[in-house]
Amino acid sequence: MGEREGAVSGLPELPEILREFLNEAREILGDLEAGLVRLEQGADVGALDAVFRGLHNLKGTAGLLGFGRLEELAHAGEDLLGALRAGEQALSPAHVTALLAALDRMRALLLAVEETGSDGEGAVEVDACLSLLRGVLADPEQAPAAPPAELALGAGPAQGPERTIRTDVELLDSLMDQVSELVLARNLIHELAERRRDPELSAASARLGGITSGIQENVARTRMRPLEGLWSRFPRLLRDLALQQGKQVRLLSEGGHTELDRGVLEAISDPVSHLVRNAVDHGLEPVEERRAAGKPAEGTLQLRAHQEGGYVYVVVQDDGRGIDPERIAVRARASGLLSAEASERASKVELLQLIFEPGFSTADEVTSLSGRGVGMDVVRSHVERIGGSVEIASEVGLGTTVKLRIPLTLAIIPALLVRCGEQRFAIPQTNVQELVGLSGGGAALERFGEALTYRLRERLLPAIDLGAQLGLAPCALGRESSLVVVQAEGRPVGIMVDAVGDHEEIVVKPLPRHLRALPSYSGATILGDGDVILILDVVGASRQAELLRKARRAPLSASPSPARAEDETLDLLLFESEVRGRYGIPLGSASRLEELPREVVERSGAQLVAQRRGEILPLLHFDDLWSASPASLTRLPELLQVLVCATEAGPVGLIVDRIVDVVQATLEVTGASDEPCVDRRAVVDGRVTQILDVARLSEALSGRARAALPAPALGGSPD
Amino acid sequence: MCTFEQSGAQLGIDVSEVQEVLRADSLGRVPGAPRAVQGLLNLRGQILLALDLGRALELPASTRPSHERMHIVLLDQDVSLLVDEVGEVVEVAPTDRAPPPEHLDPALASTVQAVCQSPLGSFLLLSPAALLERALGSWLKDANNVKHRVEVES
Repeated sequence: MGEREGAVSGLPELPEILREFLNEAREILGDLEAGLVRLEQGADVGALDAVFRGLHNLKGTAGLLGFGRLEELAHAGEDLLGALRAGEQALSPAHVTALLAALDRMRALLLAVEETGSDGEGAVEVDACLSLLRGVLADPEQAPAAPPAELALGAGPAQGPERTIRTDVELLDSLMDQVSELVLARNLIHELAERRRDPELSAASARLGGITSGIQENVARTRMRPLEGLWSRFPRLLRDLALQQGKQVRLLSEGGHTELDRGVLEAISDPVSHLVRNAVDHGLEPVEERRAAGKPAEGTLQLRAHQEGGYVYVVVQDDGRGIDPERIAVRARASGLLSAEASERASKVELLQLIFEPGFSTADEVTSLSGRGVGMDVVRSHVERIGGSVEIASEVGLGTTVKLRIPLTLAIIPALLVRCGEQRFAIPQTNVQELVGLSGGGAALERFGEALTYRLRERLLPAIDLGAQLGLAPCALGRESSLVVVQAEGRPVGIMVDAVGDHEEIVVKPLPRHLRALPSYSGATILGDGDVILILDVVGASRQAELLRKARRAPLSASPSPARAEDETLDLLLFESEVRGRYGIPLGSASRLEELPREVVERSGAQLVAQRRGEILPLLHFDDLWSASPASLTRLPELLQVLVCATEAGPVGLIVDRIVDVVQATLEVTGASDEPCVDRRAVVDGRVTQILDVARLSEALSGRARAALPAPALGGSPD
Repeated sequence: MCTFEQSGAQLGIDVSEVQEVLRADSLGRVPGAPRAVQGLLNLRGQILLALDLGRALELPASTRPSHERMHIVLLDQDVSLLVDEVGEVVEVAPTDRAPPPEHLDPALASTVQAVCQSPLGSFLLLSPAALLERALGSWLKDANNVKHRVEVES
C-alpha cells in the first residue's frame, strides 16, 4: 500500500482498519512502557519478549498502512530491544531513556494519524529521537542517561483522550446474558406492580423499566459489528481461488456497513465463506468457457446485504454457469435421494432444493478448498440454527443467487402474549397489525367448509383458529376471544385466540434442535414467572393452515407447480353453480355471506331485491348473468346463499348455489374471457376456476335495471 | 453408568453422556410435537426438549406427575430424559456387559446397547442417540418434509 491520500478527519469516520490499528498500537505502547519500567527495576529481560513481538507487529502494520515514519521509529526501537533480548548489550538507563523517548514520539505520531489520517512531515519531529536510538545501539556507554532537552519526556503533544477501548468478548456475552435476566426480572416486577395496584411500586417499576430498556439497547449496540469485517476476507480468497483455477473474478460488494450482532456474524461467517468459494469453484466458468458462451471473460461475484425489519438479508450472486436441475436429478437418483419416477415429476425448484440435502454435492471434482462433502446442507443447518433461512435460485447459463435471511439479533423483541385454552404463546409485535375483540359473539366470523374468515371493515380476511390448527381444543367464542390481525407475506391474516394478554419484552431463545421442524414456531421464551412458552411464526402458521386445507381438499393431488414471479397470489372465495361450474371472487371484494329465506326476496321491476334491516339490497342470481331476465322466484331454493359484495354503487347480493371454500390461489393472467364479468382464470386444485370482477358485476346489475326502463332511456346500456 | 428406573424397568446410560440430573416444576407444552415430547424445560435460561422416556420406549405410562420425576440432561444434545427415579452411578466391568437378549421388545431392541450386571442388580444400557432416533427420527423426517413443502409451495 502506498502513501495514503487525503486526510481522514475525526475518529468516527476513520476506516475500521485504522481504528483497530490505533487501538492495538496504543495497547502495545502501553505494555512497552510498563515493561521498560519494570525492567529498570530489575525484572528478567525475558519479560520483554511479548513487548518485542508487539513492537515488531506495530512496525509491520505501520509499514503496511504507509506510515513510514512510525515504521522507522518502531524499527529502530525494535533493533535496540533486540540487542537487549539477545544479551548483546546490558541494560542501562540510557536504553530505557531512548526507548521511552521513542515511545513518546510514536504516541504523538498515532495522534497525528488519528487526527489527520497521516503521519506526514512536520506534524511530529522524529529525527532527533531516531539518532538517539541509533546512538545508544552503536555505543551505550557514550549515550546520555538523561534525555536531550528537545526529547524531554512528555515534551511531545499529550495523547488525546481514548475514544474506544478493547474489551473481552466473553465479558460482552455475559453482559448480554445478564441483561436478558434483567429484562425477565423487570417483567416480573412489572407484573407484580400491576397486580398489587400500588402506585409507588408502579412508579418504581416504570422507572426500572425505562432504565432496563436503555441498558438493553446499549448492550445490544456494543455487540453490533458491520459485515465489512467478514467481507474484507474475500478479495484475497477470491484472488487465490481465481489464480489457482485459471479464472477471472471481479468482486462487487455493497451494504458492508450493515450491522449484525457479533454472535450472529460469527455464526454466518463460515456459511457465507462457503457460498463464496462455491460460487468460484462450481459457479464461475474458466475464461475460455465464458468466452465460448459469449460472456465477458471476467466473472462477477456480488455480495450484497441490507436490513429489512428484524432481519438482515445477505445475497451471494454469481454470473456463472448456474445449476442444472437435470444434473441434480441424475445425482439424486444415483444417491437414492429420489426415485426415478419422483425425479421425473419434480419441478425445477424442487430439484434445486435437493442441494440442501445432507451429503449431496453436484461437484464432479473435489477442489482443495471446497467440495469435500461439506456442502449446502451445512450452510443451511448453520443458518437455521440461528433462526435464519436460505433460498436459492439458479438459471442455467446465467448464474446462481443464494439469499440468506438472518435475524438481526438473537436477543430481545417486543411481543404480544395470547392464550388458547391453557396454553400461552408469544406473537412478535412486528407482525401484529391490529387486535379485534370477538366478544360481540363473532357475527363477523364465518366458516366456509374448513376455511375461517372474518369480516373486518366490510372486507373478508382469511382467519386461522389457532387452537384447532395446533391440535388443541378449537377456540370457543367467549368474552375474551380476540382476533390478532398479523401481516404474513404481505397480506393480513386473522389469528383467532381465546384471549389476548400483555405486551412484553421477551428474550428469544432458539428451539431445541429437534423441534425446529415445527413450522408454526420460530423460537421459545421464558416468561417472568419462569414458564417456557413458544413464539409463534405467523408466516409458518398461515402457510401451514393453507397447506392443511389443501391436504384435506385434495389428498391425492400432485404437488402444484411453483408460482412464477409474474403470477399473482390471491385469496379466493370459491363457489359453484350447478349449471356453470366453479367460480371464484377475490376474498377482499366480498364483504360477507348471508343466508336469506326466500320469503324476504321480492321482485322490483327487472331486479330481485331483499329488505333487510330497513335497507334494500339488490340481488342477482349468478345464473342470471347469462339470461335476459331474472329467474322466477319460485325456482329459488328456500334458503338462499348470498354473497354480499361491496361495489362502488353500494352492496350487491350475488345468489349462488353453493359456497365451496376459501383458498389461496396463484392466478395465471389470461386475456379477456367471453363470459360476463369474468376477467381472469386460475387453476385451483386442478380445476379451472373463473374469477369474477366485482366492479363489472355491479355494471351488469345497473344495466339490467336500466333495461327495464322505457325505451328512450336505454341508450348507452353496457353490453 | 448412570442408572435409573422408568415404569418399573431398570435402565442406564453412560455417565459421560449425562450433563446433569435435576427436578423441574413446570414444563412448557409444545402442541404439534411428537408423543414422546413432554415439553420444554428451562435450564438456567437454556431451553431443552424434555422427552418422556416411558413414551419414547413405549413402556406402560408413568404413574407419577411430571414434577415428581427426574430430568436427565444429555450432554450436547439440548434434550433431557424424564424418568421416574434416578439411581446410583455404578461402575460396570467389561466382563459384566453382555449383548442384549434377542427376545427384547422391539421398541427396546433398537435402543438397548447391552445388559449390564452391577452389585445393585442388572440393567439395560441405552444408547441416547438411538433413543432420540427412535423417539423423533421418523417424525422429524415427516415434519421436515411438511416444513419443506410449507416453505416451497406457499
